[in-house]
Amino acid sequence: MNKFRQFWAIFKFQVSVNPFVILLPLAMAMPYFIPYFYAGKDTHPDLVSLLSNANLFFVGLIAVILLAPEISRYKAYNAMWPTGTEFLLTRAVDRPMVLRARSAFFYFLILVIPVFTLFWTLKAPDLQVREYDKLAYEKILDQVPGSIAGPASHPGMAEEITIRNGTSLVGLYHIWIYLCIAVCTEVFVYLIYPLRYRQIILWVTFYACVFIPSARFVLHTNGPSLGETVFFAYVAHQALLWITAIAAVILGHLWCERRFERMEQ
Amino acid sequence: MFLLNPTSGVPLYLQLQQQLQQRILSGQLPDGAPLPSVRELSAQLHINPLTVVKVYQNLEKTGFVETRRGIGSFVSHQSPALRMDARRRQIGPAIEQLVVEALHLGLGQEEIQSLLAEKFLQYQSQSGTKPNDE
Amino acid sequence: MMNDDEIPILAQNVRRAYDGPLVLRDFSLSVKKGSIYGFLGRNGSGKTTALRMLAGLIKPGSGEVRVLGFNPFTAGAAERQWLGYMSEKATIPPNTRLRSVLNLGRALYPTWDAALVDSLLAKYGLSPRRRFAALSQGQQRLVGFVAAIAPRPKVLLLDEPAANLDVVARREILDDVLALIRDCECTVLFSTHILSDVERVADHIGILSNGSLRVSESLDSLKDSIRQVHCFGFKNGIPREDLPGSFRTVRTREDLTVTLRTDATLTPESLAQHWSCQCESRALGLEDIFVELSLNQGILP
Repeated sequence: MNKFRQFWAIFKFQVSVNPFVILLPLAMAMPYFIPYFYAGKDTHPDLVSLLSNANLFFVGLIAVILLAPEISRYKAYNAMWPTGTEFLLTRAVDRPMVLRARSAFFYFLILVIPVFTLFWTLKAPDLQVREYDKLAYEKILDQVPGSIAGPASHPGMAEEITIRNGTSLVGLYHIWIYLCIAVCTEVFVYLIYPLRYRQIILWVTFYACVFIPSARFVLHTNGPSLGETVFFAYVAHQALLWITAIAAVILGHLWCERRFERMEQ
Repeated sequence: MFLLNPTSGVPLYLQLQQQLQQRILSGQLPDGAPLPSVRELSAQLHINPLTVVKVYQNLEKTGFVETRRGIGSFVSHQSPALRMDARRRQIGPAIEQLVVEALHLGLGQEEIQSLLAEKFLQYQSQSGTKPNDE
Repeated sequence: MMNDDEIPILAQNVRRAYDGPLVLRDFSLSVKKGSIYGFLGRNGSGKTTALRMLAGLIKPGSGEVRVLGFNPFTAGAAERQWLGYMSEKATIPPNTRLRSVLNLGRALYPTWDAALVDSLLAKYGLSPRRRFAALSQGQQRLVGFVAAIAPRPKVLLLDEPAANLDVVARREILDDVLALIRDCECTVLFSTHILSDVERVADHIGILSNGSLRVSESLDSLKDSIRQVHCFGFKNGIPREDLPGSFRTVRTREDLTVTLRTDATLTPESLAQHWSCQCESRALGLEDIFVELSLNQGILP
């Protein structure tokens, strides 16, 4: 049996099972339109708003829907509203291939828009940000490669920074973040899959991830946000982090395949 | 052609076997007549082909049927004595049932014999035939 | 030991717990090639668990399961293409179109018989364009049946194929199974509550009770040997003790009815002699046999 043919057959079947999930990436396109919203206007966004991505939870959501739909509901619901996993596993398939096809569909969905807009950023490579915070201003000039001061919008006020190829930088950064979140979610999902209380663990973790980063506002912690810290770490070691991310995706997925192979339905 | 009742206490193979045997003994299926293939018969009757195989095998053992490889199964040419034997055996259960019932009801042998004579007369006059003497 | 070719479905000393209690204990089953095996048992007796184990969805706690010589749980695509499975509940997601299910089958199985699929769809009135959720429950199960039988598998496992189907559809499904048996050397194992279906097509039956197979023999020999004997006219009074090995004994003031398995030594005539009475016997249909076995031998689920 041709492995690719099997993969492709399962892939097409998965798409037909969740036809509406194809629309989710559109929601994930939001962060990419921020620069274009600002383009041609006098005001520029600050770096943090460019980096923030409220749609990260979509990645988690799609991961659960596509990779392990069974764990998000009670076992009784799975009987009434089947997910197709049992059906697929009782066909002439290699078990890991089912997860591979699902995973491929998942990564395709979360990366299709970011990769597409990456090509679009080549048209307007320079990014202009405005930083009112003096410390942040210095930090960006210092650490972000290709950043230069100016052009000044008001005479005497140093607020603007131009980052050469900045849009691509930020675009790549978003993709990298998605990859990290994706592989973490995939591994997490398959870590908790065989557990009895997987559903509770899933939802608790989900809400924790949504709310804890915002908790810093409540706790009045000073200093850079998580997003900023990660970004500056990213720009300092781009090549290394990209290699690590891709390796993690491949190895993490293979680990999940191995686990899936041995799991009962 | 054959009436089978799957839910009866009598196994399907036995029902089919007895009915086939009856047809052969009564002459409806004459000597040398071809029998339907296992496939055909099982498809017709909506039963497991293994049942038909079993019936044909049993009938072969008792000499009613012969199977020629590659051609099919046929009604065998049997000696009249064997036929008579088989017929007597075939009617055995009915006789048994009659006797048990009679004993139950307290009817003796003479009573039954006179009842039998009446019944034979009635049927023979209806169809105008005499029992086959072989 | 017979080789795998002759016993396509084999389970040996399987134990399996579900949510605590043991569902299968010392469960051993062997189905010969070309056989249609009817798998019976009361509700909750573990029939579905056994079938899911044979289909490779779950593993035995201990013991061995072999289908066509391979372990169904760890089998790959090349081995699974000869195994067809129809589940008890519909497992196809609701938004899927029938067409996608058929395309999947066509791509995965080299032996997928498209002509058979077309004829079955026409017979059952199923259109490929329809969404799975738009079909009735019976139609959904028919889709599962078509998906299982279309690749002309060597082993076909059917979990309650008759459930949710009307009488006509049930007969037609059995006919399709028979047609498959006639055309290829395939082995069928199906679990059901509807005993008349079993009597129609099965050559062997097994009754699952208390986690293991209480009865596993050919249907013909079962029907041939089990008799309900009605004894009356006792010269020495009605016997108080049950006959050892009998299934059920019912006594009234004047007579006694016992269901038992006859053999060379134990027949109605020998019983009549033994008890000094008169006996008449009748054969039992499978439903009666099953009830008699359940009521007395304690066929607990």
